[in-house]
Amino acid sequence: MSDLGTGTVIGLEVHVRLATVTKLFCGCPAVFGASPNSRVCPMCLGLPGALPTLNGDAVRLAVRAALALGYRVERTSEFVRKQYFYPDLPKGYQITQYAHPLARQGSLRVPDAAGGRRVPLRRLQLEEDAGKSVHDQLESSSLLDFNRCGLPLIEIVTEPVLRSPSEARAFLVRLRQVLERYARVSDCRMEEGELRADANISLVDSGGVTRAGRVEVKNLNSFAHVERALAVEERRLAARVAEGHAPGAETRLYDAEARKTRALRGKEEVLDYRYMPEPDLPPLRIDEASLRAAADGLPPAPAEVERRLIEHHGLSPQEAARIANTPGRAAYLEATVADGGLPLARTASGLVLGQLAAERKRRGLESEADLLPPAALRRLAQLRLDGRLSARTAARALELLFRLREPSPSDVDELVASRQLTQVAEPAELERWIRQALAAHPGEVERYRAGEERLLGYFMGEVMRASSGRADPRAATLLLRALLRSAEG
Amino acid sequence: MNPLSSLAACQKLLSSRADGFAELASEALARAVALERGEQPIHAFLSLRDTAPCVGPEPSPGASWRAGGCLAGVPIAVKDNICTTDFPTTCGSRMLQGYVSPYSATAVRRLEAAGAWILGKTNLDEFGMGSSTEHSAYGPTRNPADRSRVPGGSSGGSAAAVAAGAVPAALGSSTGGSVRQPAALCGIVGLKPTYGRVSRYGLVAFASSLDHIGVLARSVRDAATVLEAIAGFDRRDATSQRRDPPRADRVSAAELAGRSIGIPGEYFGDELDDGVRAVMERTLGLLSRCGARITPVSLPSTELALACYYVIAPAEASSNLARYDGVRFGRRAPGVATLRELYGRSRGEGFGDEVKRRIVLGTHVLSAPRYEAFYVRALQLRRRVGDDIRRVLGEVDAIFAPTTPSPAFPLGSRCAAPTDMYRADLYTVAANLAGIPALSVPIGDVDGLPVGGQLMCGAWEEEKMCSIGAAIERLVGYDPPRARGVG
Repeated sequence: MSDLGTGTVIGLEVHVRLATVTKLFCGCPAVFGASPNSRVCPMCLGLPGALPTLNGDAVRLAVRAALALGYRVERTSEFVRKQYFYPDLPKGYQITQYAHPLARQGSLRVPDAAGGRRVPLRRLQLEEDAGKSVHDQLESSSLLDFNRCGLPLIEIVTEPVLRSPSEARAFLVRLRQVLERYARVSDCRMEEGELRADANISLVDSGGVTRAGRVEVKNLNSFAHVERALAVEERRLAARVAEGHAPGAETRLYDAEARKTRALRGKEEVLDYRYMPEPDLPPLRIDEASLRAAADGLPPAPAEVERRLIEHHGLSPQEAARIANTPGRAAYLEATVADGGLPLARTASGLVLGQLAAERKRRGLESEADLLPPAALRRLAQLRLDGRLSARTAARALELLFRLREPSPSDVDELVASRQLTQVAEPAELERWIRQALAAHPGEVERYRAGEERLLGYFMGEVMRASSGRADPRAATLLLRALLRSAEG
Repeated sequence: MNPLSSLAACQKLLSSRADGFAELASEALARAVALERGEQPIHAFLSLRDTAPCVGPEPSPGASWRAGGCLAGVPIAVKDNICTTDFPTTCGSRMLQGYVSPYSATAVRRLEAAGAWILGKTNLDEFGMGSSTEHSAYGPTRNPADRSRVPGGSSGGSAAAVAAGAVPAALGSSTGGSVRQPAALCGIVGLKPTYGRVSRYGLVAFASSLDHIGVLARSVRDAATVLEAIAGFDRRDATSQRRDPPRADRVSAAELAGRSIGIPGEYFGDELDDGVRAVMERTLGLLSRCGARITPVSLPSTELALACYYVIAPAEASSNLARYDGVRFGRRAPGVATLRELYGRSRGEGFGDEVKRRIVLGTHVLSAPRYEAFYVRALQLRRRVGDDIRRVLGEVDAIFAPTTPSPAFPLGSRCAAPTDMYRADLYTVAANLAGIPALSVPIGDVDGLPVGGQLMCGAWEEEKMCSIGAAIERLVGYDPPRARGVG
């Protein structure tokens, strides 16, 4: 699109369901997948005379989410009614926040090629979900399920600063990581509607003047859909601009199957929600104590953890991102390496991301720390770093260590000694394994001598096999080459 | 003597013999049924118990309020916009014809826990919107003092049932004066407590920030007793407050000497009926002879309060009544083809004209282009009304004024001019806007039509307010309508 002199500007509006036991304004259980209309009461059905009472746990989780996203939590926020008629909205209004949201001015650092970009967040508000309409099961009627009515949501609105569909996706991935793994306020299962995103997209020229938009795209129920729908819309708008049009504000629906967007309503049909203060709920006040309670055990932001892993422990950005995927894993690595220096950190990180991560997953454990105490891992990494364990013997050592309960560093030493796992660089020993390997393959030796040098790797494999992985690869390679040459002479 | 004329009379019968309850209940039922008979029926009730049981409900053992015992076995009527599982809750609307709530309002549950026996549900202006009970989809209620006149509203059915002697007390609700105004017009006591004193859970919302459950009775003491039973914090209503219920046994008619009573000049303007003015002046004379200090005070926001009320109340009503859409309960227009038609016809057929008028008005003032000019300004004005009243109440014990500008008006006389009807609330809306307690006490009559005097006190001062009210009651010695052979 550079030929048009335009750039893309994207903003996101994300709804995240808080993982509470009960709904936001009544005591109904907040569960997914119950039979239709089985988790409802006078409040969530909007029966005459029913009144909302605020779920304190939802407030705690919303405040926690706000803190995790660097928001300024407002001491006083207010609920309002957003009014419109729709059959899955029983009261005829949604209880939400408007002029006085729970929190303002947050930010989320999203990884990019330049090492991360801060996306400013406008506001975070607490609100209730609506019910679910099913239009495609009966020919001439719609079905309504009110179980979802009143489930607690937070709405997070970004400034319109995202520059591409892929950056929009990266933002959402990061947001989910923070809310699900770091703050643990939501399970963020998109397929169950626990994280929903609406996007708006505009095209601007180099002077920042809007050429097209602002187009709101709805019905984006996976990260891939967000990226694809925005890319589709970006191309459509660019084509319209190229044709000399200036497409205006409208709302469009993404059709994932057709990979197309279609118009839902234009600007002129903009709804008047007749916001009014919610008289049934007093203003929500957040005091010091509830702020502290909400922040309890909240880990630092993943961007912060990644920065430390890169700058302090010398990990690559890719490695750091994988280690910081969960706060537990990052904490585990940091406990393992302490101030052990950069090479140790990289070695340990390799072990954590490789064999430990695989084993944790296989066993369905919460954290790598459940497999091996940090001190034992540190000892193992140190042996590997010193060259006393090869990749193969280290792997073998880990396998054996996984069978022990809470092994100590001395258990590691003992195991390495008793199982003879240390790497061998001693020439006499190496020569014995090499000669054994060469004697077993006279044909290959002949081909090597005839000039087929790529067989060196094959012989190394045989040497490693003969040594049960204990041969020091560098010393063995040198000696192998020498022996092959000397036999020539 | 009618055993239903007071709580004391009920208790006397209940304790005098073993089958006292059966007799009291049958008597109440017979009187209630009689109100539905004749050429000009009072029509106080929309639904009634089928039969009087032999054994009355016991106060629940867990009932912590001391008033519990006072209501054991006592028949009480409940306005039909307060949810009950034993009767339909129609709100006087076709929209909710036959609708039975799956739960009972907190106030009703507390009455029953105190041993009260709910006799039936009373007529009202549709959803509480009106001042005459003529805006009921089920026909108007008539004033027991003069059947050609309105009983006031919107709790007209409750007021008429008490005034006619079918029950010693009834629950009503007040958004702009719907307890005090019908009490005044029917010659009984109407008590609207402090906002947050009685749970609104189960009161069908008209304008949530103004809605209160209140009590209609024939004496201040009885009203205070019922209030004590239903008051107190309720976790189901986020606007209810953690305050101990006011105690009826602390209500004492003894002391008027030294009390300062503020008389707001704005409540004695041109709109005040001469007869009502004369009754008020006579009462003020009595008060001052008893040693009360009568102090002129000023409430400059009085005239604006009514305008403010008629912006805020319809705005909230338009929101609260959005749920009547024909989808889940209530009236659903048959044979509709589209969603728009379902809404349009269900609401068009289900709501009466006054309700529609207020929904349209409320929708208008909340619409984006009008919001600042109407709704936001009304909220500012509401604060001013409250500030005015609190300022005055900082200087006097109570404000005393007429409850209504005129006595009961003839049926049908104001239906054509809604704003004339709205003026019936002129003196009562301020207490709802400010959330302070207010009490209407009968102080006399004009050509046989009862006149009420209204007391207003500071928030949570119901005990003091009822004490002054009881003193006025005793001083005036007004004969309630039963003495003239009604009911």
